[in-house]
Amino acid sequence: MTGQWSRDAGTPPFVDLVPLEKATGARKELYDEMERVRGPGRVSNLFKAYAAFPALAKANFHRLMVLLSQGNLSLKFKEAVMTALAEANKCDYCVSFHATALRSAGASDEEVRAALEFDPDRIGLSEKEKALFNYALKANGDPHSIVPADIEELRRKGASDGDLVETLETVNTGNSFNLINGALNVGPDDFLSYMKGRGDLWKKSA
Amino acid sequence: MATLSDLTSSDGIDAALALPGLLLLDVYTQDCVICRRLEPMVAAVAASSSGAVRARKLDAARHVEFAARHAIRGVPTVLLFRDGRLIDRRAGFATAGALRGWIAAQARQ
Repeated sequence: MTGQWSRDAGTPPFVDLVPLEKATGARKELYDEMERVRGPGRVSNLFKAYAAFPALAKANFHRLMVLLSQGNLSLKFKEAVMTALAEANKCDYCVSFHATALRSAGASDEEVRAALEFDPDRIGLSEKEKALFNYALKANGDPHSIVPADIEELRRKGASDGDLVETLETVNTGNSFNLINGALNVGPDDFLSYMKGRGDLWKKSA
Repeated sequence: MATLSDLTSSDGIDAALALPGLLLLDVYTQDCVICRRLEPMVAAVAASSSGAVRARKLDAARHVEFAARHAIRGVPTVLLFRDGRLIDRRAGFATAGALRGWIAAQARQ
């Protein structure tokens, strides 16, 4: 076996996930901003961990907001990519978070399953976004394996320079969050329920 | 399922190759980072194939004779067997979509 799912229910997170009611100073400012954007109580465990370095946490939250709210590509596409990356990286918190977000972006259960099986043809994406989904997986798998023919194929499907950067930043964001959650043993948020415990399911089938 | 079961013995390899149908054999080594990226792709192809494709993995460093016999020059390498006979191979990372296309092309031949 190569790698483990991130969440270990018997081991607490390796950093203090300060709850909302105990946050002060710069950490509280971050939490307040996240609640304004996402809704009451919806400060994710990832950002509670990030908030050990408040300025960096704020910068990453702003970067995430730019990625999710701007650009040419659909939110469904970006959440499908991050769901697939979470599965590839065996981050069960990230699968739960992004599969929930993918459902909120309009995907059906079957389309979420397709993202987890790395099959863009069944996610209901445009031809351009299908090609960019595979580009994202290839960039994640081995960026140096991408050749001019890959880019020419993307161009034929209508991908712009901005689309390529937006896709790669989606990969970067997904991977960086997977890494933080895995390395700090950060578990799923209480407000998530969809796809929660995928790692447990996987452990039973292994 | 994002992982593959390992073929750890000669008997296990023989048994896997003795079964009819398509078998993807993911040849890897423990220290190969790209192999770790490829494994969930191979596993997903098998898991979503409704039983049409089986997939296993094999550590080239532990099965040197097998690797030599199949001319493994680097990892990851994916070997595609049909009814126990090697019909094609590909080296390096591939997305699940690329693997599905590759298998479909082989199946048409």
